[in-house]
Amino acid sequence: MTNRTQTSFTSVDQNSDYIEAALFYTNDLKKRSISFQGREGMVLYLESITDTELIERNVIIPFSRNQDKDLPELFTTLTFSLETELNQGIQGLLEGSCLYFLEGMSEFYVLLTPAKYERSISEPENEGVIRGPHNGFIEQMKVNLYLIRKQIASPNLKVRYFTLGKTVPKQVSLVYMENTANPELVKIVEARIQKISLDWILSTGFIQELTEDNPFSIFPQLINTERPDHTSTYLLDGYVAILLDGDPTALIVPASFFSFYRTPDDYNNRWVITSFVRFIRLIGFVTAFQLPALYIATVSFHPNVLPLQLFFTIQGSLTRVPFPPLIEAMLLELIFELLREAGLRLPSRVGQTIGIVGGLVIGDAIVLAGLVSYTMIIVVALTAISSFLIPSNEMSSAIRFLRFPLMIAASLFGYIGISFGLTLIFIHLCKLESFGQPYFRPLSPLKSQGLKDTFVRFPIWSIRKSTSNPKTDK
Amino acid sequence: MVAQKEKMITKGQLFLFIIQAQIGVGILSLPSKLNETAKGGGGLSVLVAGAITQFAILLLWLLLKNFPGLNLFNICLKLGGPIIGSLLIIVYIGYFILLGSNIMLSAVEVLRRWMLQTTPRWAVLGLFSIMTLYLAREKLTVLARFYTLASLLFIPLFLFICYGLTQAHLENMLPLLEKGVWNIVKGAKDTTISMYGFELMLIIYPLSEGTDKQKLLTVSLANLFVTLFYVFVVSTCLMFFNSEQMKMIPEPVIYLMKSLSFFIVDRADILFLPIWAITLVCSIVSYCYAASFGLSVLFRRKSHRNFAPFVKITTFMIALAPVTSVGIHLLDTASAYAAYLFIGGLPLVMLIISQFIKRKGSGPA
Repeated sequence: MTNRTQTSFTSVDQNSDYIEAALFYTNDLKKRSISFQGREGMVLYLESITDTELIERNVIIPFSRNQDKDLPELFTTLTFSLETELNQGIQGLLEGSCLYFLEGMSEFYVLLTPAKYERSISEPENEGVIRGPHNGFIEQMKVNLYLIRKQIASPNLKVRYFTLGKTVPKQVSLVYMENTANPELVKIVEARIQKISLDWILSTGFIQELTEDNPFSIFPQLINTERPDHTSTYLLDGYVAILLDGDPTALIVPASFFSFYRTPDDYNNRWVITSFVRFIRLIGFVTAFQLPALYIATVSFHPNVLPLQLFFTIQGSLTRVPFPPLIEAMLLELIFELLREAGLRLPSRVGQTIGIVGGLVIGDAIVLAGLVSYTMIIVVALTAISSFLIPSNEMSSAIRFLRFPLMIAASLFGYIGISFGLTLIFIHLCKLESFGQPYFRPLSPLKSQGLKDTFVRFPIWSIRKSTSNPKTDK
Repeated sequence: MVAQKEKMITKGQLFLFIIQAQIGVGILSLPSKLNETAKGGGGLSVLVAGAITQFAILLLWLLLKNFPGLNLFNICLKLGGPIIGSLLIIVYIGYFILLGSNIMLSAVEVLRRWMLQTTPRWAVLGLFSIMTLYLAREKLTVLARFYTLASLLFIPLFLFICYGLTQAHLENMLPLLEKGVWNIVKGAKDTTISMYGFELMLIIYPLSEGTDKQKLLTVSLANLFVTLFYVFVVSTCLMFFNSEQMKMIPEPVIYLMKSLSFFIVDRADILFLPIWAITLVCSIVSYCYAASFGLSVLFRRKSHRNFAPFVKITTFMIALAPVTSVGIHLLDTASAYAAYLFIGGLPLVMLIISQFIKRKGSGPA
């Protein structure tokens, strides 16, 4: 339908008939005849997505007062344009405009009167910070751009619009700093976005999957955030952000593995504390996907690694368990994943039940029943907690998933299995690229400047050269 | 042009590449071999071997310098023409495959002896093959990136061995020249086998950044690093064990680990070997990369990607073939002698021919 072109008719009725037919006589299409200087005219709008009060005030009332003025001067609205293409008008209708047709005129007016039912700018729930701005993106792209512009009042901030989706067009914007973003990178991002040809795009997940370098990798290759300050920091560093109308998430490219370990809080804390927290996160990362594998390998292959005392303690709790360690671990991990998924779907009022059933009933009963050992419960619980240390939900899921192949490798080849499993993962990480940039930078390829803000965070004056170094002032 | 630039590796990466290729399975048994020939002078033997290696590096460098932008295989084609050149390439590919399988086999044997006694050999070999194949198919930059990462593992390895120094007795190593100078030089012969890997500069030299001099310096520094590392390891072992003990232990480095205990780890060797295995993976990958790269030159394909599986299967087969320890030893000696020919002999001949051609070519022009 949208592919056909149809210039507007000079007769009002013909126009309104055409539009009605094009919208399949939908009931929320409202018509209202308003004559102008004796000629017949008509206002058309979809009442569901326009602000009727706005139409009343800025379009209809002026007619009754200023019949002597010219039409363009009459409308007190906002933005309006003259169109001749009826399908453009229909698209305008769908985006919240109202149309005004005048008998005998080959053009018609498209007046922007969208309804604004916006969520307030609130802090994103899964990206809260202790200190720092407490605003977040919402579903309106214009507002999101406003939030970014508010942070970066610089002429270098450039926004480029694209329209994606063949049957349901959606606006996408590419935001970057003209002076810091690598033009090569911008070109790649642009090309990949323009290559997307889908009938409709609902969320940034679509863009993410259609633009990433390696769709078979389990690692996220685009950073997503709902925080304007986070986005602005990346933009100022020369990253490119992709915003989609109707989605409160900004996608930022190119991602690196370590960007998923940063939180906005890192830069609001003392740098020593941040470095310590990052170190804790690193431990969390290592335990989150290695601890069960290490435990399995130790217990079933290399118990002689442990000092004798520790060995007896573990052996004591293992003797009653009828399963090999792998089955035991899989069982518990599976139960944990079940509980996690169930907790996610349950309404919060029932959520407590999960805690009781999961923690008390299953946790305690499963040991008493002799199905699982206490040490395994400790291992799995530690793993679970560690996996929540990872700030990014996507990375956390990837790491949680990686545990399972590692556990199998550990049960087949012991420590060698783990070592080789890790090697495979790291080879994959070295191989992976995000929009042409190595994913595992700055560790490999090694960039000493980048390392200052990876495992630890150096003082800001040492990371950012342009800001004044307090030492040189003396 | 952009693609060309993307493939280049930095000087630092070249340095680590050579180190990772050089350090292999040989070092684990080196101290005990040296104990037989040179006794306390083992460290000196390693130094001599390092010097010999340095000469070989100079030789290869002279050859590569004569043909800027060309790697070994291109040089073969240029010097030998299509037929002899292709033959040369084939034998070189054979050499790389042979060395690759030899390292893989020795690595698997060590792992099976120390950690995976009941696991069948084909399974461990298969594990190595899959892993190395996954990396060897990639671009050189990816290899270099991974090697950079793997080089971080030298830190724990170094610390592990350092810990052995706490129980070392210097007098175990003295007198240094107990067996005489001749035996020390003979010991160097055993050591050179553990030094192999630098010949991969024949492949990656044109793909790295920097001037000829800088590259030579980088490779030499890598060799120096490896030599000093070996000296350190060998001396530590020679100080830790006395000569009589050493005769009974085929792999003193691991044995050294075994006797150490940290507060929650009772046997450090079991932690040491999996980390060591990753360095071995790097060596194997380098040879596999070289061989598949050769195949891609031979068949005039742009990427070596699709040749790597064939190389890997061949490597796997060769490593699987020797069943007895005699067979394993045979493979070992074969690769040792092959190396003399392919690192020393052939490049020397090629260098002489190239000088000859050059003089002849520059005469009339």
